[in-house]
Amino acid sequence: MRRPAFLLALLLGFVLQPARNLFAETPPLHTRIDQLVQASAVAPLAPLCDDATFVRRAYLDLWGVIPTAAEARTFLENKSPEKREQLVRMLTASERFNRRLVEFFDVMLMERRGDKHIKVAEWRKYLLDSIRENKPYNVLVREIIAEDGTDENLRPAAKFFLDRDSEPNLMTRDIGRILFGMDLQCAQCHDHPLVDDYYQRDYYGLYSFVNRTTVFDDKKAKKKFLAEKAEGDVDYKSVFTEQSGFARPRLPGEPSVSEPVLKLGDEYQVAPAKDVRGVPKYSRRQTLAKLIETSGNDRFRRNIANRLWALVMGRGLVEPVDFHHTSNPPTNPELLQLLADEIHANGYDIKAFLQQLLLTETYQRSLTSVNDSKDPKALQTLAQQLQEQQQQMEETVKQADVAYLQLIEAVTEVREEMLPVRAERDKARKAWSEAVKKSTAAAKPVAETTKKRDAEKKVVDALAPALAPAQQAASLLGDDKALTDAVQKLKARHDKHAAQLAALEKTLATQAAATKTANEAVAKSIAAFDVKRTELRKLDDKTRALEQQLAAADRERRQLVLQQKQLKERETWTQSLLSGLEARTQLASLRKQLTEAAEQRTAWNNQLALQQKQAQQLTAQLPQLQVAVKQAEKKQAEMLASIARMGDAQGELQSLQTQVTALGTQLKDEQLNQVAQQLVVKQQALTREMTAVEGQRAAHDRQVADAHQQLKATQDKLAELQKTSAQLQQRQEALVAKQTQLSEQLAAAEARRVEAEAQLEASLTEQNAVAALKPLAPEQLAWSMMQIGGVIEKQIASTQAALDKAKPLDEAAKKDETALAAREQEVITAALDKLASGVGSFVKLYGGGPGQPQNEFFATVDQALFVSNGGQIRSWFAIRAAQLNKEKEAAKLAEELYLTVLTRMPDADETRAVAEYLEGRDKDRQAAVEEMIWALATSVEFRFGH
Amino acid sequence: MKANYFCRSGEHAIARRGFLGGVVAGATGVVGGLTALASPAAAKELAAKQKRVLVVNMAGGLSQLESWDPKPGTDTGGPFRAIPTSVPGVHISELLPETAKQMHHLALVRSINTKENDHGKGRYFMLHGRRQMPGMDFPTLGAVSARALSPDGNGLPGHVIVTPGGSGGRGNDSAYLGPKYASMSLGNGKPPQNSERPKQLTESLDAARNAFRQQANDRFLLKRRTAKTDAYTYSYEQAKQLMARRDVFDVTKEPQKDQDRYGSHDFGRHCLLARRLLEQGVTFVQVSHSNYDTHNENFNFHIEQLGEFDSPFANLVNDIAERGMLDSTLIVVLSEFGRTPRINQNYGRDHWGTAWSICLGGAAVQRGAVIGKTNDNGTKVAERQVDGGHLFHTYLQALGLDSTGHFDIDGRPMPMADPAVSGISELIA
Repeated sequence: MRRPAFLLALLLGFVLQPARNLFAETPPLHTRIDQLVQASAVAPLAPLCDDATFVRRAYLDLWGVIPTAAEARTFLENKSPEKREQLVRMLTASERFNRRLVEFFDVMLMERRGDKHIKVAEWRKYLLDSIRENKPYNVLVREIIAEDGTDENLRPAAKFFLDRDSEPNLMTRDIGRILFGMDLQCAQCHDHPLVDDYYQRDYYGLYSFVNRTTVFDDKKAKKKFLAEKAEGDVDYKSVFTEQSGFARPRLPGEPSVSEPVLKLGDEYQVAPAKDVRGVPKYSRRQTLAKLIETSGNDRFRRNIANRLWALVMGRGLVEPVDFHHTSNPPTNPELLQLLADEIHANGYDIKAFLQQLLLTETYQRSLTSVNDSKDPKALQTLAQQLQEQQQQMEETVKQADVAYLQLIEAVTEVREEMLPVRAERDKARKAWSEAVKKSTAAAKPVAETTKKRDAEKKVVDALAPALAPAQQAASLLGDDKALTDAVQKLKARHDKHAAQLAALEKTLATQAAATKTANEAVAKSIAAFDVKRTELRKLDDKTRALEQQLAAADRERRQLVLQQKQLKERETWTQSLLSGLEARTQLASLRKQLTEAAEQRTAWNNQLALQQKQAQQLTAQLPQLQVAVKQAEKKQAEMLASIARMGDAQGELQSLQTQVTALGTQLKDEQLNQVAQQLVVKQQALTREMTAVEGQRAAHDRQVADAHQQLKATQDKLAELQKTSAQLQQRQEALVAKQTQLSEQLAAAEARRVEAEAQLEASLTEQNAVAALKPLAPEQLAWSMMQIGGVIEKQIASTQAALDKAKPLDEAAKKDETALAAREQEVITAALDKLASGVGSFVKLYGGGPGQPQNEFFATVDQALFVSNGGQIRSWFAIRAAQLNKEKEAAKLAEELYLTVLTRMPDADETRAVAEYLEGRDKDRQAAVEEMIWALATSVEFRFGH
Repeated sequence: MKANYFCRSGEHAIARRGFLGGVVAGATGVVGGLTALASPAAAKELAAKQKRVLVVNMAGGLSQLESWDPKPGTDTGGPFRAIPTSVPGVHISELLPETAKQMHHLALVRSINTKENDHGKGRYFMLHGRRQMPGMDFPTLGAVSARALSPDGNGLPGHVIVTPGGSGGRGNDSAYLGPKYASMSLGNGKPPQNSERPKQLTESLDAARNAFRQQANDRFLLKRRTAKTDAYTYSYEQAKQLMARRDVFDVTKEPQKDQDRYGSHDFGRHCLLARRLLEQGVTFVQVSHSNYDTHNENFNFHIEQLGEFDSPFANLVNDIAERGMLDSTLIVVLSEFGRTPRINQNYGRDHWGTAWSICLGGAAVQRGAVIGKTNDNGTKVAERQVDGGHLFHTYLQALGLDSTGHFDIDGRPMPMADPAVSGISELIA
């Protein structure tokens, strides 16, 4: 199965749109994911993991906790071929899964911040409700941006802004990082120096959506809300290049938004004032929320797709998850695009999406990679082909880059051009506001005068009709002095008031004229403002048109760059396979050479020892031989001496016999003749003896010669032996030097292998050829430790019992699935909320600081001290130890222990080790069990093995 | 078009694999470090070479006029005299007679203008070397020192803060450097949390369970071993070492004579603990002395407070020098700001970030140097104005670090100190 997959990858590697087009009907997402993984991987894919690993992995990813021993056993004993799919469906249908997603979104959106303006509990409740109703992710995001805290039901959603104090730089950075996967921090003060895709205008594009929003302290309600102004534009200026621009609100990679034109002075629903929360008619923050919800921005999609992938696969296709850019390309761009498109197409249904991920084979890969040998030639060919394809793309990429940069420059120019116009517009706005002030000032006396005039008029109107009849009466009555006086008085009054009225009318006319002028000035200022605004809008439209082109150019460039980078990535993977292979081969060859050298050395050593032994033996023989020589020589000398002596005796006998014979003849003495005769006999006997001795002489000489020869032969042999030994010794020394050299080479090769394997490990994980090693997150660790202690089951059971007693379900409800589900929700919520405090201490130690990125793995001494000596964990483990200790048989205890802590059966060695550990611990067996629980719970396997 | 304001050299390019390589190298470094520690001689050599930092934080805002920059006989000078020190020509307040005798080990910077009169912001600037900016967070001097200077393989934490009270625990002061370099607080000088073995668990049983853990690890690591698994197993080794060396945190293990000499009050004990920790190879130790926020009765308070500070601090400087650690140990006495030259109606002085001083010494700091000056009555900086950013660079340079360098955080280069300013180069010997 594996080899064809690898070949398929080889074949399809050259086709840019593989797999998908091979099928007329679109297969389910999980199949398409596997196809893309297979098409892009250059290494053989690891086999699927075993059931024990799968059940642990699925529980951890979907419920955030290891399975209990009973749950694990149920799964392991299930014989259905569809049991993995069944498990995924069962787990994702549960309230526990909802809680797991609350953890995910809480950490992602608030990064473990605590209580501030909105309590964490309220916020989590909001998330939980949202997840229970499977609120689409884009709607959730819309709410956390749009809500200002006034809607009681959705108030907790405002935590996203409120608890960051709505600080615009912080909001910009976190919206960029968390929702778009772009850490634009460096682009706050200048274009990102190292990232080609991060521009200062991107930063201020987002910034412009949020900089008008502030936290409003409602003293009466004793609550904080979001307020927003209708004005406030941003300029930016690079601290390096002094290049500046006029920022318009825009999502990354998109043109800036076109905003409605509101009449000057008519921008607010509620105008801001002291202790009055401003609410504009057009809200930029709401626009951002709406845009995110509806625009389907591709960076927004990719971000969430990648984060969810990272959640279950242990590694994002882009890592770090908040650093998407073309120099940090996805390990599989096509796959990320597929995921991004799919999550958009499915209406941002997080649960359905995760289910698909869980059903992939990619998710089920084993932790151990395939280690079969591969043909290096095929790999080299592949690497070369990938390299050539990259080169072929070079020119196209360059062109796309140039086109993109030209547009950027054009946009930047217009943005800069807008600055003076914007200044004039703002000046016009100021003039308008001055004019309005004047007009208001002018309108104020008109009202007063009108009031006075009206009063006066009332008097005149009352007096005037009375005057004529009174005058007539006075003239009729003639000299009625009293009447005449009265009439005169009346007239005087009338005239006075009439005059006053006339004066007031005149004033009013003047004032009205002034008001009219002021109003005209206002109208004029509005017109002037409108002229500038229109001018600005024209420029803005011009930019937007350019930005539209830019967005297209960006997409094209991005696609090309990513294609090229993917080729590069695959080449790197191939290289890492090759260097892993090479390192291993080299190591093996060096090891072999070393073994051979060692063998040779032993052989030579043996030979040398033998020779030495021989030499020793020979040397030992030497004195004996020397003695033999000496003895032979001595004997020879003795013999020669006796011959000489006999010769002398012969001579004397001869002369004596001569004398005796002469005397006998002379004296004719018979006796003398007889003596002479005897002497002759004696002489003859001596001669015989001498002849005999002479006869032995040769033998003696031979003996001497032999002894000499023997000695010399031995000495020669010894000399020869010493000579060959010396030679052997020399060769031996050379060999030792070579061995040292080989050992050094071996150490270097070993280091290279370690490095190559680390690269290989990274590359295999990147290809999704093997399951990523994902350490338990703080929450997972805490819940799993509790699970070991049985704390969770116990709490759920007691909560259930209490609820059933307090609010028993009637018979109908017991058969009603909705009612039962509601009860499950209620039980789980109450039980797990109660245990949440136990999670807090883990989060404090194992999580990043509040508001810091949370996905970094780190291991510190205070964590190890906490689990080694902390009371909380000890108390949990003690409960389980007491329970396990009831099992008297060591093998069964081992089984339950491993199933409880590591979700698998122990192997024979482990079972034996458990029995050995219990030996001699009869008196404190429970403590021994607890120690083993601790040891397994702190093992690397517990933290990483799933 | 993008401007080329940084050199686009290879070093600046983001190399994901380069980073992974770094992790691997780090992991092997850990192994080497452990073996190095196994030999006491090697550990000792390591300790002598290893750079360390002692920070004394004068919480609340120490008055420069009653300490490092006295102005006797002026309208702002207050009642105290200036006394000569062991450095000819350098005078400090008469409230610091013992410290005056150690001046030849120390140096002064008298021209600080942080423009920051808020406790929190002032402290942030002085300890992080950058102004507090919304949306951004930077690591403290302690975290930076621990990251840049702490040798791997020392069982002790690299960043320790002795707090006047509290229960201890990990601080949130390492920003992007990550919790590994965050401070470990010793609440009122007590040993780290959870460092004591539970009573029921004997040493041998603890060893047995650790051996069982090791066995389980060996089995797994045969299948899969990475920098992360190494870091994880190493944290338990570190815990074992720390527990074995728990005495390091016990100041009563110091000779009675020294305990008497440093005094039985908190600050004395904390200074002696600092000496002990530095000697044992802890990279960064911060102690604090409070409280100098003397809006009322500035002079009486300073008599009392500095009376407590002077002798233990002078002892500490002297002991560090006598033990041959001065060249490897940077000493900094800082505060969040100084106090106003103007004396208010309550005989107090108020917050003042405009013209104040710190004292520092050891490491590569030029002994006896005085940098900058204020005008005659101390109302403004007259010469060589610096702020928290310049000082931060200076500390790092005194420790032999290139303060213009950067940390590689997951492929993101993060400047070690504010790239917009530089250190006081004339202060570095």
